[in-house]
Amino acid sequence: MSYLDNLRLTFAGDFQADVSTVNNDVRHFDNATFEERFQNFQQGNVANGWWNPIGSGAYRLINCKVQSVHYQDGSGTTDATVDPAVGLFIDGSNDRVGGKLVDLDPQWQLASQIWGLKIRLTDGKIPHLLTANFQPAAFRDILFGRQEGASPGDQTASASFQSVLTDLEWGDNLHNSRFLKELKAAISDGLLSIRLATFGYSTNSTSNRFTIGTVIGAIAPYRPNEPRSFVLGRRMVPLNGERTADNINFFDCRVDEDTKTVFADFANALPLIDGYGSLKNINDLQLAVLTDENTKESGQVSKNSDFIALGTTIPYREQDWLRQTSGIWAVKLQPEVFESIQNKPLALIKMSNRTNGVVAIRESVNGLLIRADNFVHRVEPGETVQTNLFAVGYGKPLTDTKITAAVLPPLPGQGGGRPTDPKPPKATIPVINTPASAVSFPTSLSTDADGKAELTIVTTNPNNPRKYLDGQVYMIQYQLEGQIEGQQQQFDFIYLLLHDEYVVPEQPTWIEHIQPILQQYSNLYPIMSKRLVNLGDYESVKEHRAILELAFSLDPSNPNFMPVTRDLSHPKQETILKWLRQKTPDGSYALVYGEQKLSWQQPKVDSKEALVSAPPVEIEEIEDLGAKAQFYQSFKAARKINSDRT
Amino acid sequence: MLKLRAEIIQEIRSKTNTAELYQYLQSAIRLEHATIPPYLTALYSIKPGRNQEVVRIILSIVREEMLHMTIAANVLNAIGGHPDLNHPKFIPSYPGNLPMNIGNDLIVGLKPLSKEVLKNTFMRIEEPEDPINFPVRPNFMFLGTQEYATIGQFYQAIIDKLKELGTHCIKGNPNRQVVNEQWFSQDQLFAVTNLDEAVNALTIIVEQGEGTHNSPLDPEGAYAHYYRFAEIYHGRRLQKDSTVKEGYSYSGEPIPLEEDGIWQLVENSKTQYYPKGSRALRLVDQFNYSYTNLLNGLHRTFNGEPQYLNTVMGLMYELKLQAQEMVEITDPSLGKQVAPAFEYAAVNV
Repeated sequence: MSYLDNLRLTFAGDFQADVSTVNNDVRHFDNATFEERFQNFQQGNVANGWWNPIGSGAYRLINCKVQSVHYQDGSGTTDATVDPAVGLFIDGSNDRVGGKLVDLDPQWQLASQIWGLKIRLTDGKIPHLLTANFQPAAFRDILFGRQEGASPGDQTASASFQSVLTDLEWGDNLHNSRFLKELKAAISDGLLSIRLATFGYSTNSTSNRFTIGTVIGAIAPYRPNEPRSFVLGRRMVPLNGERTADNINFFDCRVDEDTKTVFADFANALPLIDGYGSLKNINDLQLAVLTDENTKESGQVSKNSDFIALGTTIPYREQDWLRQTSGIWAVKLQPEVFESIQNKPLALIKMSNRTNGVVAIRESVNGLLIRADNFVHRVEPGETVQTNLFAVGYGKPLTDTKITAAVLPPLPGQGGGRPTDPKPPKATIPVINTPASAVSFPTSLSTDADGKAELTIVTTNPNNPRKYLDGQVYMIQYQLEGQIEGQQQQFDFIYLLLHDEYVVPEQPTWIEHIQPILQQYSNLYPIMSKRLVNLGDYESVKEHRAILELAFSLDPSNPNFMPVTRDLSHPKQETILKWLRQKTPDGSYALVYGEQKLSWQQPKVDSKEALVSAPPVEIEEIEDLGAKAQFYQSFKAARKINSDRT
Repeated sequence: MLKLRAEIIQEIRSKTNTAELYQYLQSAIRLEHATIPPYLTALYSIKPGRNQEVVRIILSIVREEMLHMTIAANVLNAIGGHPDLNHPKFIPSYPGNLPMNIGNDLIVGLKPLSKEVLKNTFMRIEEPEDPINFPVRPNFMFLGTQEYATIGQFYQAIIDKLKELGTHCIKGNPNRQVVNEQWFSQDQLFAVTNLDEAVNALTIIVEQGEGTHNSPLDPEGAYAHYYRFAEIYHGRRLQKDSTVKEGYSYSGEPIPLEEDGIWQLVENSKTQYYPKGSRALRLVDQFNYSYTNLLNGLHRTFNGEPQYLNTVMGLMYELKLQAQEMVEITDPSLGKQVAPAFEYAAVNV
């Protein structure tokens, strides 16, 4: 049932995503052609290391507070004197570093995951009311240009991270909060469902809100066997597969049988006019059920003949509505109305007057929805991974229904910079999704009695198709039989970062094995190399041996894990650890250096020069798209070339 | 020499049971901690890549202060007490007195590195009971003799009392002892499970800080903190010198302190100095939060989860990055570089 539940809390505040941007251009991964300037801020049209080369990868919740709580009986409050859970902080960890936000790969930057985020419900005192771990999750349903009237780019984008909270630890004192008592009693499987929606993210290094954005969230019980990363319910789908005429994104509704309630989640759906959550006025919006399933988006409709209104119009124009409700709208239905929505599409009607309106967006054709749950995988060659697929029609499991799956055709040009850059990096951009032979899986499978199917993907060594960059990125598309094109959000693929095969050497040496791996990280993460440990430098690594051993040996879910990008293959990680841990007979660390090969010269970053490079004071005003928007544009271009061919 | 209220020594001497010593070891933890924000501020004020020898010296001292905190916590745990670091009062207010009002007239603040800070604050904090005033050639005497109790004597009073109370005062759960060879060698950080170990542990604090009575060297053969700061102050390494009666002089390798390699930081930085909504305030707030997290993490480490020290190490690095980021920003109203405030922050706001 997910966070779309009567029993829920909502919160709002800021988030910080201090991502590093040197790795936004895949060509920066080529050690041989890496230039020192790639570690600098962009200047004018020259992209260099883009807009935040000194990013640390940190992902933090800032000043997030509970805005409202709702009870099992459907009532709720925004008043802290009614329920003391209102006004509490939703914060990150308070005894370790914050979480991290990490792309899967420079060639797939639209499934960035939050790692190592702790969630704490607290009044600022110890002990807390609740602590939990946010299970690593990637964003979904990203929409560029959601915020209108702003320059294009990441600032205008909006996305949603849905996951579960694990390892719940409740405080003894719940402050007599009815909500917290109900929530605690309602938990099964020891999990809570959580959804963050994020927007208004600033990539402007001269702004006070640089690397900061707005987050609105919801937390509710997780129900056993439901997907963790999306709502298995009623999917609202823009007709063109991207956005409606009113700039409405895909969103989810859910119908609760027990309470006869319909929930709609507008957190990531309606157009914004600023970065703080003010929604654009697009007239009265009415949640409805269409009487004719063939009624299309933009179609003229009349109340009680073409649609039946579900509750009142949505008060989305009220001050702070989005922040306070986290965009969740719930309507309890009369039994006869409830019956009418079982097999008919839900819709959002933009009312022209009390009776007539147009369909702003409607549910998918036949209410079909298929989505993969665990859809981002980091894989070693030879490993087999499973992805769970869930299929429903009008919210009910589709049994014995065929699903097809296929690797996308080879895709060139992913993860480069602006085409206008007068000084682009010299390396060539590798092609992804090739060789397809390295991933195999059934191209057709059927759902079970619960509407589920498990896609098993067997992998082999891709054999270093990208040369200067480990492994390969694969995108696997999946579809329900009979589902028409454009009914799935355009990034609903299964993603694999499949590593190259690598044999841990008998005797790893700095020169031959360690330096080539670490130099790449040193190039790509100047904050690390310039300010903490110069990973490309033997003496510096030697000096920090202990902390490196610790960081490379942690579990990836630990926020201290290295590399922060979580893109190092296991055998390479093992090689580094083996090298860091090897001791000489006298008990000191060997850190074997190895023989310098004269033919091979490492491009040197002049660290002394680089050390003093602060952000340039004056940055020429250019229209900066930001990383995600830039990536999206090149993805669209490549997909178009692909589809033009077919 | 730092004045210590004579009553504190008297008080310790008058105690008759182990539990009565808890507060003094808790004060010791607070005292060792109180030196860290001023030293870190000086360290963070050094521009990247500049004054590297000075960086190494200060860093070595900060590390030992962290060690001393941990040792004091080990001894407190060993005698059955509970270190207490996770609350607002644990962090001193800067500028202000050191815990237990040690130093009496000594006001310790958060300032960028300068010779003035070295001489008037850092060297005074670390001043031995009987400082050996090695000549700076040609000759320099910078302190007269005074007659007050020192931090060393404070620890000595605790050591004496522990000896007097006898072996049965070591009654804490040995699983609470922090030992971590990754960060501190076993001869410096070891489990305190008996009286001898407690005495040895506290002795390390005194000797690393002050040296031994007749030598600037601590038992590991490194110069005590006082003399390491003095090296920066005098701009030369302390080295053996048979031509002077003291046996050592500040006549070794030069340690230049290049003032243009120091950021002019906002002194005794506080969140209230920075405009609401400004990037400067965000960075100062974030640092406060991370610093508070560090103390919370140490609290866990010292209260039954010694391995949590590994997790806390991540915060030390994060703090460094955050400090480096803020000191590059000039606060327009204060005309100086934004500096960490080391204030308690229970939530990230």
